[in-house]
Order: sequence, then C-alpha cells, then structure tokens
Amino acid sequence: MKKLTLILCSSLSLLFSNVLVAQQKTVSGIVKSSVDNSPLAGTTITIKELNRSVTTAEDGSFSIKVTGDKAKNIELSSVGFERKEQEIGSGPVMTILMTPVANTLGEVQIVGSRNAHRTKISSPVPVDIFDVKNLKEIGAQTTLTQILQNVAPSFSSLKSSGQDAATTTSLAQLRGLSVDQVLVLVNGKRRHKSSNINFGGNGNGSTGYDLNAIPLNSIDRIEVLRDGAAAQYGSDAIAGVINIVLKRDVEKMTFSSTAGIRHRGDGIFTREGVNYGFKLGDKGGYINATAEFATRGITLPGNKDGDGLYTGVMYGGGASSRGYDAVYTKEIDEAIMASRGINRKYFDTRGTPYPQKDALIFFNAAAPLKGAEFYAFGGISNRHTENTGSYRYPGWGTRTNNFIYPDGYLPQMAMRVLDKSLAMGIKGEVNGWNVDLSNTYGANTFFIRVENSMNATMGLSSPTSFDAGGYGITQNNTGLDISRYFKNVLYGLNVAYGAQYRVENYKLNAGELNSYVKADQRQILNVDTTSGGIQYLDAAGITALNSISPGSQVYQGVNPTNAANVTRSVVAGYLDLEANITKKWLLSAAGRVENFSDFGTVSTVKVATRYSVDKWLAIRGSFSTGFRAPDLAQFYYSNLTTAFQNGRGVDILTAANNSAAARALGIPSLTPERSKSITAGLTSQVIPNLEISVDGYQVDVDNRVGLTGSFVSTDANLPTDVKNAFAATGANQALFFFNAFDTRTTGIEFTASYKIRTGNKSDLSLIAGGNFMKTEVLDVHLPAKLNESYLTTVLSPAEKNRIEKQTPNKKINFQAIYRVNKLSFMVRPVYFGEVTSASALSANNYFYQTYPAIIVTDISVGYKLNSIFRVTGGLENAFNEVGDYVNATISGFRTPSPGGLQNGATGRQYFISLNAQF
Amino acid sequence: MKSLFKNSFRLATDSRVYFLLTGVLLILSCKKTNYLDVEASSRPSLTAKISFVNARPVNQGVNFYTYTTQVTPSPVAVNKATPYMDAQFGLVQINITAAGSTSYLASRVFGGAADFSSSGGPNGPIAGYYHTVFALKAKASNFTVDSLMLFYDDLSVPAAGTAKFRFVNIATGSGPVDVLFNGTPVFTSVAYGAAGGAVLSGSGLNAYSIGPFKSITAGSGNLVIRSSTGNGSPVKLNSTEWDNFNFAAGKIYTIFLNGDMNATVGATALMHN
Repeated sequence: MKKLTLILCSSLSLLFSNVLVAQQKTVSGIVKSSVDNSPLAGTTITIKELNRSVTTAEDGSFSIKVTGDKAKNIELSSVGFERKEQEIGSGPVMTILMTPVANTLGEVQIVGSRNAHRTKISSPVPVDIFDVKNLKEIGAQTTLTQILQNVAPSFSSLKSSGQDAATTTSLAQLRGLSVDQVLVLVNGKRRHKSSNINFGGNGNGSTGYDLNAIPLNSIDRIEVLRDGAAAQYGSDAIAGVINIVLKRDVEKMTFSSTAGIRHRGDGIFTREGVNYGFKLGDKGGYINATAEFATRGITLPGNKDGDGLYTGVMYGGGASSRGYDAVYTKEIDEAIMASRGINRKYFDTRGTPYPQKDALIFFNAAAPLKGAEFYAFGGISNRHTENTGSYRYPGWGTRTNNFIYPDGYLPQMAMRVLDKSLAMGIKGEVNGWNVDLSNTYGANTFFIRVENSMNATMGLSSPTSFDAGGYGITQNNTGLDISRYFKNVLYGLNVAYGAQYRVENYKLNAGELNSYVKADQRQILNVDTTSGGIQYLDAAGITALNSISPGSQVYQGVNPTNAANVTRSVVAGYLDLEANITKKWLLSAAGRVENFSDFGTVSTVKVATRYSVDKWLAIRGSFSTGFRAPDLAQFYYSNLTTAFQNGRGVDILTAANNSAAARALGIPSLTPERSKSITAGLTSQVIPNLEISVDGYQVDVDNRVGLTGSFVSTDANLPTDVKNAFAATGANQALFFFNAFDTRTTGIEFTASYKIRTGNKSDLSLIAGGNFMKTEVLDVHLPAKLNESYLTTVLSPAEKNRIEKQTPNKKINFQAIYRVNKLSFMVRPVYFGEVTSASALSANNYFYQTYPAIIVTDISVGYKLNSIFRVTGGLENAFNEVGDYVNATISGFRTPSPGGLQNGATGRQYFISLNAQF
Repeated sequence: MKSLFKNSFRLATDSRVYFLLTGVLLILSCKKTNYLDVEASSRPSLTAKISFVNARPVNQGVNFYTYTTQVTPSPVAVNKATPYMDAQFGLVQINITAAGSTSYLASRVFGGAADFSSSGGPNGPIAGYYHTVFALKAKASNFTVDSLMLFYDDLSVPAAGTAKFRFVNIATGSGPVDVLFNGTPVFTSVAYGAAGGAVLSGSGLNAYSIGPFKSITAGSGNLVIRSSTGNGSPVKLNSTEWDNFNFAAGKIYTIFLNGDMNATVGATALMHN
C-alpha cells in the first residue's frame, strides 16, 4: 500500500507541476481525417522535447504551449490512424490531415458505431479500448479474460466458469448480466459461442463466448462497448459488445513467454507465443500469424496446507455421508491408512484452475485488389484440460468398487476443446458506398473422455476410462454491410445498412455404452423393511439397487436417446444512421429485424445521442431494446451430472426443453429474452490527457432463460412423465430450461485515464474505473401446470442469489504504470465488493454466506535488456488476498477452503515474462 | 524469411537463462503435486473378508452378491457357509438370489447408517476385517421375507486352553433362548436375529460387540439350547452331536440355531479358524 501511495502522490505532484509551467508560445491547429476532412476528436498531440501532450477537442482543434526553441515537431496519434510528425509551423493555426491506417477501409470504426470516423471520445455510448500488448507485458495474466478482469470495471470473469466441462472455459460478463448476454466480435464480425452449457458458477445454465480460444499474441486491442446494441449487431448484445481487433503488423516478429508459479510451489503455468507479419506484395497486403502454446500444472487445494482436507470417513460405510461412530471409529480408519502408507492428504481433490495444455494458431490477412480489398482471419485452438471431481472414497460403495480401486479414486474429465474459425470477405467502394461482403464460419467442439473412473453399476466388468461423448456447435454467418458518409448532409451523416444470413447447428454426441449404462436393473423381489424382527435391521428405508450411481463417475456419458443434431437459420436486416445535427450534437438511430426459423421474428431499435457542452465536457445517452435468442444447446441438451449438496453426491438430470417431462410440467418451448436499456452519462477532459467518463444505466431483461431449481424424485405430486424420467436415469433431482424470470439491473460506471511525460525518459500512465450496480429479480413465471408452491423450485433461492448477489456489485480498479529509462513499474489494485453465496444443503434447504470485499493487488517490475528483449517479473495478487473461507456448514467433511467467488482462490502467484520484438 | 530464421535463432540463444529457470520451476511444481496424479487402479489390493451363510429355513441354495457382483461361485446350500472370501468394504449392498434365478430375493445396504435404527442397517464390512453374513427370514414379515445380517468376527487367538464361542438365534418362530454348556449358562435371552451377549447401543458398543465371542474352556460337553421363557424346556435339536460337543483349544466357533420351531430345528457350528 505504501508503494501505491508513493506512486499516487508523485503522479499528482507531476500533474500539477505540468499545469504550472510558464508559457512562451502557443501552437494551435485542427486535426482532420484525410478521407473526408471530418474533425478528429481525441487525437493526442505530443511535443517530445518538452514532454508535453494535449488532446484535440470535439471539433478537432487543439492548442499547445511551446517553451524555448528546442521543439521543432509535434507528434500526432489517433486510434485507427497512422502516427504522424508535423513540423511546427509559423502560422497561427495549422491544419493537419491524418491518414487512416493502411488498408483498413471501414475498420477504423470502433464498436458501437458504423461511422468510420467515430472515436472513443466522440462516441455517444461508453466504449473502453484496451491495448492488449501493453497489458500483457506488464502483468502475470496470460489469458484475455483475466487481463480484462483487472482493468475493465464492468467486466467480470472467473478462471473457471463453472463445474465439469465449464472449468475449461473462462467466460465474460458485463454489468453483472449473464455470460450469454454479451456479444463478441472479431474484427467487427460476429464470433461463435462455446458449445458448453455451464453448470454452477456465474454462468449457470448459459453458454457464452470463450475468449481464451484466441491467442493473446494475435490481438492488437480490445474494444468494450458497455451498452445494449442488439439493434446494431443482433442477438446477445444486451449488456454490451466486446470487439477483438487483430494485429496487422508486418516484418516484425514479437515473442512472449510467461512462466509463473503459485506461492505454494504448485500450479506452474507457462505461455509462449510468437507473432510475425509477412508483407503480401508492395501495396499494403499482409498476413499476420500467431502461434501460442500454454500449459498449467496441477494445483493444490485451497490456499494453505490443511485447506480442503477430508476429515470424515474414508474406508467405512459412512464415506461422503456421515461421521465416525462407535462401530466404525476414526482409529479404525487411520489404522487402515497407515497400513497403506498414506494419510488424509492422499484424498485431497485438486485445486482450480485445472491442468491444461493449449495450442493455438491464428492469422489475420488482407490483400489489395483492384479498387477493393480481400481480407481473411481465423484460426484453430486445441485445448486439453484435466478437470477432476470430488474424490470417490474407498468406502463409498455406490460409486466405487474396491477390487478396481482399493483406495478409491479421483475421477477426471479429460476434455479436448477444438475451436475453429475462418472469416473471409471483400470490401471496397461502389459508387461512393463502402461495401463489405463477408462470410464468417466458426465451430466449437467438446470431446469428453472420463479417466480414472468407473461405472459402479458394472461392478468388476467396468472399464476405467470412457468415451463420454461430447457436443459441438457450428455457425456460418454471411453478411453484406453497406455504408456511406455524407459530409455535406447536416454536419456529417453516416448511413449504414445491411443484411445477414446465419445458420447455426448444435450436436450432442452420444458416448460409448459403458459411459451411461445402468448395468443391473434386475427385479428385487423382497426388499427388507422389517421392524421389530431382526434386531438391528429394524428400520424402513432400504436403498434399492438403483442407489448405485449409473454411468461413468464425474460425468455420465451422453445417452444416445438424448443425442441431437439440430439446425436453425437466421435472417436479419438492419439500418443504422448517425448524424451530426449540429457541430455539437450527434444523434444516431438503428433498427434491426431478425427472423429465427425456430421461434419467429424479433425487432429491435436503438437511439443514442451526444451533445458537446463545451470543449471539455460532453453529455450522452441512449435507449435501446434488445434480445437474446435461446441457444440450441438450451433447447436440446440433456444429461445426468453429479452435484454435491452438503458434501453428499446427488445425481441430477438436466432434461431437454423439448422432453416429455418438460411438457408434463407445462414448460413451453423457449422464447427469446427481451431487454430494454437506458444509459446516460458524460465525458470530460478537464485538463489535457485526462479523460473521464461517468455513465448510469438500467437494463431490464424479461423472460430470462435459466435452469430451474431441483424437482425431487420423492415429490409424489409430479406428473408421470417426470417420474418416468427419474426412473429411467436413476436421478434424484431434475432441472429444466425455462423462461423463468425478469430482472432489472441498475448501476453507474466511471472510467478515468491520465498519461503524462514526467521527464526526458520517463512517463506515468494512470487508469481507474468503477462499476456500482444492483440486480433484482422482478418477477418469476410459473409453468402452466404448476401451482405457486413451486415458485421456489422454478427459480431456486440459489439461482436467485446467483443472479442478484454472486457477482460483485461493486468493483473498482486502478492501475499505475511508471516508466523511467529502461525500467517500468506497475501497481494494480482491484477492489471486489462483497458477494453472497447460497449453497444447497438438500433439495430445498439453502445456506447463505456473505463474503466481505477484497482488494487484489498486482505488482510488477520490467526491465528493457536491450533493443529487443524486455523482461518483467512480479506478483499477481501480491498480498495473497483470496477472501473469506467457506463456512464449515457448507464444507461438509472437508476443512474449509477459500470461497473464491470474487477473484478465484488461486492466491499469490510469482511470474516472470520475457518479451522480444525484432 | 531469412531474417525470421535469424531472429528465431537469436531468440533461442539469448533467452536460454530464462527457459532454464522455467524448467526448474516445472520440476519443483511437479514434485509438490505428484500425489494428486495417482494411477488409482494400480494400488495394492484391499478387501474385507466375508463368510456367507445360508440360514434360510428353505431347502434351497442361494447365491450372494455385493451390489451386482456375484461373490459366491456356486449356490450356498442351506445351513452351509463359505470360507472367508474377498469382498467389498464400506457402504456395501448385499443381495441374494435363489439358485437358478436372477431376481434378488433380498437386498440390504450395510453401511448406510451410523446406528441400528436408521435406514440401511449398521456399518458395512470393514477393510481387512473378517465378517459373517447370514441370509435369513425377517421376523416382522412373519418370516416370509428374506433378509441379511452381518457380524464382525473377532479372530484374535483365544487364550491358552480356551476356545471362543458365539451363538446366533436364527430359528424362525422361536422366542428368546438360553445357551448352556455342561449345565452352565453361556448366553441368555438370545432373541431371534441376534447374537448372544450383543451390545447394540451405549458405551459398550463397538464393531465386535454386535456379535461377541465368549471365551470358553476347551473340552467336550453337553450343549443345551432352551427357551428363556415358559418352562425352559430344551429345544429339541435334530442332531445328537450337541450331547457331546467338543470346543477345541485355540479354535473360534459360531453356533447358530436354525430351521423352524414349528417344524424341524437344528443348530450348526461354524469354525472360523
């Protein structure tokens, strides 16, 4: 904290000293685009010799003081335009034209606007732009989601998005809304989603976009639009849009390597990446390619020795369900362990994140044609993760067999995630209109093997590894986008319209027979339920044979009866207008109509405006309607998973939305989630190089699709089709996808950035941001055939809590980077507000725990070895802040571990990275 | 392209210290977590030992299963016992089928409860321990329903000159019985479905107290089983061996009353060592 204070104080003093410098001469000018002479707001003007910078105002104007006679040139930089040096002229006002970055017709635009000349500062909606290369070099985070987690105020992501296969993914949330209520674009084109539905975690019941399938080294910058934009981009863009802009560098090789290790000497992680751009011809063509390889080792459980240690019965009949007693004593258990040469640590489960091996390649290319440009980008990632479940203790007979696993086993899901994408298009100018015809293909497939496991119903004949099937999606999007900027209409009018045709496919692939079969279902003639007869067999409640958990443990293979191969098509058209009504007033409006072959037509609108009150202040606001189409996976996914309630394993059926059981409950086919968003805010540049934005928002989402709570097999009132589903699968509880509830999210965000040269060879950059929000469930919908007694089943208290309180409602991030000579110093504290968890102790009994706020701080020091190499080392989560431990009530027979709901439970990590640029 | 290779070579040579450090980290990290990456199926074997006894008053052999795995290679004849066999331990469901049938006659989970009044019966077989499991009829069903009963066998060596003896009453229709050897009561008021001297609750409860062995001076003598109530007349057994039964020194016995009090009643001695 002392370091942080020191840096803050020094930066503030530098700030004010800069303001007070005496002036001798003022250079003024106007910066415009060379394409259409439109003014470029937000352009940075720097005089290197004086370590002085200013930013252009809304009308492109600037003025900068020049002292002494050393200064000869000014340097100009603006997003999407080439850097430029301009000699300081003798005239009173200079006019400087900036040229768009080569071969980027239409790509200068930032997300949220189809106007090629819109910048972050002049946007009517809040947009953050993150320089990934810079952030990657200074921090330990090796994935995109973890980088954004620490610098983007309304962005939220955990290293593992849920249980089972979801541990492979790290999904993005904006403004506390669901992981599937944010849209992801790559180079402005719609990205495909992950095929995995999350269970547990912040993405429960949702798919979402897996940002980590794109190599970090291939990314130039990230644009985060914090506003609904479904009227511009279509489904999912309820909370906002994340646009990943790929590198276009040529004849420059960059290499980066990062290695780190947890503070306990475990969980080592590495990531190596290389990026190189080739010139294609001499007219600006290029192909920029990236290869990346990442590994992560096994992580110990918890944050310190003794966390997560199992204290219950290991080898006796009470394993996983109860404690010791007079017959099976702790002494007996520990004598058995001693005879085996092991102790309780042997029964640890692995900590998260789980071991992984990732290989990723990506490319971005463009080739000029006569009057047009051909472009393409895409890549393949092949990622392996070993997710382990809870230990199957040797005495837990319904899930193990001592002849195969004498000491029990730690079952593994060995998942392979194959992600492929390819976008191609051609763009050019036709009769003054920019035309972009593109086709974007994406596929995401999960192949699930279960290792070190067994199917307990098969007894000794059970294999120990299984092909459990998997699932995948493909998406092919063909789009035609047309736009034109009319500089003489009003003060500039941009007209954009277009159409898209998208085909989506979802496959749920069956596993091998052994992975799902319930092997022995022979009739039981007499189940002893005597009382008063045999003295110690006198109670009811004999567990019948179906108490043995069927299928491969940790993940039951997909049954062929649940397999699916379904396709839908989407046709969309949009119109997007943006006009400078006056020099100070921007107004934009967009409308979009989309037809889905499975549920019909959805139309959305958006209006946004920005008014420049003064050179240093602008106000802005927007209203939009939006929607999210239910994923095909939410319609058709069905399988059995094991959840642990109060430490006890329970088999839970996720029934398909189109199943007979769902219809029996009166659950209809899923319909789109619909949203209404309002934002209002301001942007300000009170002093040069200081940018501030404050935006308030309210997002109402109706008919949100969620997983219901648990319908239990012992409920005598359930319809026959539901009971049949329990009998057929051996499940104890069942969940269904349903448009179950409406929510309202309100909040306020702020961002601030300041950059200043502090000396001949030093500079300081500061960024800060915050998001304060609240989400409420406004209404819960009941399926037609259920009465009000099922309200807390349809939306369980745990799910309601997850929506309202499990994502930090307050998040504040701050980052200071100070560069001097060859050294750079970074400190980055992030405040995560309190969260509350709700854990099921049984089907309808929950335990609530509130985790107080935490501050996680990253610290790093970098040193430039020579003109090529830079080495950086530091601490991620320097003060090892993992938050509260879970209450003993929830941890069951294990000693408590950190809850990790705010920023995971990995704790302090040491890292070192090597970056090279040739 | 030439510069690409040249730069790659420079990268490899200039950064070797960095990669050496990374390699060391990898080795250190693996050691700490090796125990979380065990090939669980290659661990040394561990089982419970169970002798299965068919004490049903029906002249029909039965097969014994733990869950869905048949443990007895062939049907166990009535009033016969298998040698100790390797079996699952912990939470174990034991089932029986009649010879030639695939339907379970009875199915009972052992280990699903901590006491004797909850579902699933008492604790299950214990790894490395010896057990005796009886197939029998349940009293509450008026002896029409099959059931199972499990005892932990304390096979510690008897004191010199003594044997160990356990008695179990599994004769349908019987009331409590007393067991006398050479006129001396050894067990009293042993109810149907219980072992003599059993402690099923309270401070004396432990695994072996459910079916305790009593030490008895080795030698031959008259073993009498008689009703604990009424006139205390001896149960008429269908064998004369009990008139002069020999408890051999160092041996461990379970004797169980079997059959049907309304038909033929017998007793069977099992020798555990």
